[in-house]
Amino acid sequence: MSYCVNCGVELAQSEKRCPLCKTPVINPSNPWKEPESRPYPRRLEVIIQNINKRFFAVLASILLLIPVFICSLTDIMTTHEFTWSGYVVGALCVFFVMVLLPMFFSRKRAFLFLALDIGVILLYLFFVELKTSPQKAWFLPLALPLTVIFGGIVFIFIVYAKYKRVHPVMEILALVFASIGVYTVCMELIINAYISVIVPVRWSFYSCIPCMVIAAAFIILNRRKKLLESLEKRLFFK
Amino acid sequence: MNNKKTWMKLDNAAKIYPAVMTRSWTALFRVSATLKEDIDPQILQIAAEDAVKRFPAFAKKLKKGLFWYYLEHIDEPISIQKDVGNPCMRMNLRENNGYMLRIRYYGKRIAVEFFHVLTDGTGGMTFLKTLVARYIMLKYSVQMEYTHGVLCCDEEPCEGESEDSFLRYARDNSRSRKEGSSYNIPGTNENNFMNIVTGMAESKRVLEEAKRYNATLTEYLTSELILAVDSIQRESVANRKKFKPIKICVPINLRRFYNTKTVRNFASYTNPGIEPKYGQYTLDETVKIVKGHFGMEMDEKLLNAKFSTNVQSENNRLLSLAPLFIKRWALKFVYSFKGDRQTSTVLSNLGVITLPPCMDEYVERVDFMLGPLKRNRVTCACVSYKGVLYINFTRTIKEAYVERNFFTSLVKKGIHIKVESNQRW
Repeated sequence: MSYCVNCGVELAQSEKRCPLCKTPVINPSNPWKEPESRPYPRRLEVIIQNINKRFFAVLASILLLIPVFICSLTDIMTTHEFTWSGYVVGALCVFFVMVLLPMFFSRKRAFLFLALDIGVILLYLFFVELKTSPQKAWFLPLALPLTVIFGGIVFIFIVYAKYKRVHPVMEILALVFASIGVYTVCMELIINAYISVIVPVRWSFYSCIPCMVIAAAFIILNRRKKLLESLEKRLFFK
Repeated sequence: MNNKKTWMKLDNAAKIYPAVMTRSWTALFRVSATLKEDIDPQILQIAAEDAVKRFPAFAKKLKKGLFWYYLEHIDEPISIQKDVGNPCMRMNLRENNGYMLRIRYYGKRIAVEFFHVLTDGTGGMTFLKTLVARYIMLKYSVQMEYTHGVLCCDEEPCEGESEDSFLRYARDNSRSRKEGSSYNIPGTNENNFMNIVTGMAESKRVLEEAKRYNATLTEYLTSELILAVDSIQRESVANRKKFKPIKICVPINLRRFYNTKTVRNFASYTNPGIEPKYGQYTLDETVKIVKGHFGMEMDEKLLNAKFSTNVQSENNRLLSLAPLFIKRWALKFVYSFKGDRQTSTVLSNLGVITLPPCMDEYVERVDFMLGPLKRNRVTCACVSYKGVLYINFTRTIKEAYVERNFFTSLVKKGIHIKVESNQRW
């Protein structure tokens, strides 16, 4: 009969260590030896988890090769070079990186995937620029800053989701509206710079101000529990 | 021609389980009996076939209809299995001829694992008693007494045994199901393994301790468990303002309130708990809260209103006309927000198990354990047999701090605890 020196519980003959604190059995007068029968058999039921997700990703990746192959072949057969099929192949590459690639990973590496997504979108846009209008550059002044700013907003959302313990709905809504407000202003500034308009901000003002006001209202609502409660009281429908 | 109905609807409580099950998780529980001699698999196979015939409600496989899941009768016999070191792992409904129960044996033990779609703990225990009685009868040629909840396999099943008692007893009442979320026990996930720690104590001694607080055994154990979880939150969360309530889901057997013979699901639940951000509760205070909560909730009218609300949702015209895939999506959504998020853990007490005297001399021990839930990765189930209280903790996390806090607290009160586990050396 052995007791755990740490927990004070008696340990069954089968226990080599205390199942509660992992302290080994210490009993000089009765050292532990393997019992004739254990409370549970050694044989374990094996369940293979997550294999389906990875399997699906592999299957979908193989299936993606079919349109890639058909489009490229048709393009070459008709035009004798890669023309329109480049867009299809590029779009499928974007789809692969954004949707299928994360399925190959068991750990969710949000920042890595965000960087990859932004990277592949930029590459695709650059490719479209090269294909369509190489003389009228729109990638560097327009597409690049817009995409990077969008990526920055998503980055803020990931940081918020990852490092804040609680996520009240009101706070999420405030963040969404504030992001829309900021993004519209950035969008107008970048577009104005691209088409060389001197007035810095005009139309985005009308969308940014309401968005910011709504965001502020949500933040206030989130802090004023009584106000939230009285709103719930007046607006409930079930 | 056999005019027996070969299919039946899922009972009201069972409807949620198929919708929320995943490839890696099904809501299971397990009851087992340990005999004095090694189990003879051939005799157990015969006993299992006989017992399943006696419980037609359990010889069912899960099928999908256009609007709801339903249960279809299985004609093929059930096959017994060798037990494993990690029981209650997810059930593949395509295996085992579609049976949603597994009869397993190891050494002197016969165990039955049930998917909650079929039945609850009480129904499961009735099946185990009947199975073990049949086994003892076949093996030792004992003249069996069909008392103490043991059913005779040679008799035809009663009509009321397969009924959905929720539907039968539901009234036109409803009660809000709104409840806030509570603290979830953190921990490192185990991969394909469920840890079991069984604590054995003298029932009389634990009951004496409960009586000191003027509480029942369930109330006392629930209070101890609340405090065991409370100390984990106090250690892991630094900011007191962020403390979440600690609530324990305690199933309530509704058969105590209604005259029913059903072997299917007929249980409700209640969630007693404390609000740790108001300060550190003593055991005395916690027992008072739990006692008060049980006193209020263990009322037929309140319990009826609770399950009647679920029955009304089931009968809702709009909901019942929605195709199954929409219902599944909706139930999954509801479960992820409500489900076991509302409680920190579960404590299910099946009470004192009694067997006919002719069986008693062959059965040494009875166990009951719950398969962990999606979020509540530590669960507790207890049962008393022959004066011993078997407290089974099951968990799918590596850390054993809940059990340790719980058992050491009992030890400090002078209760002798013996533990055994399925740990790998």
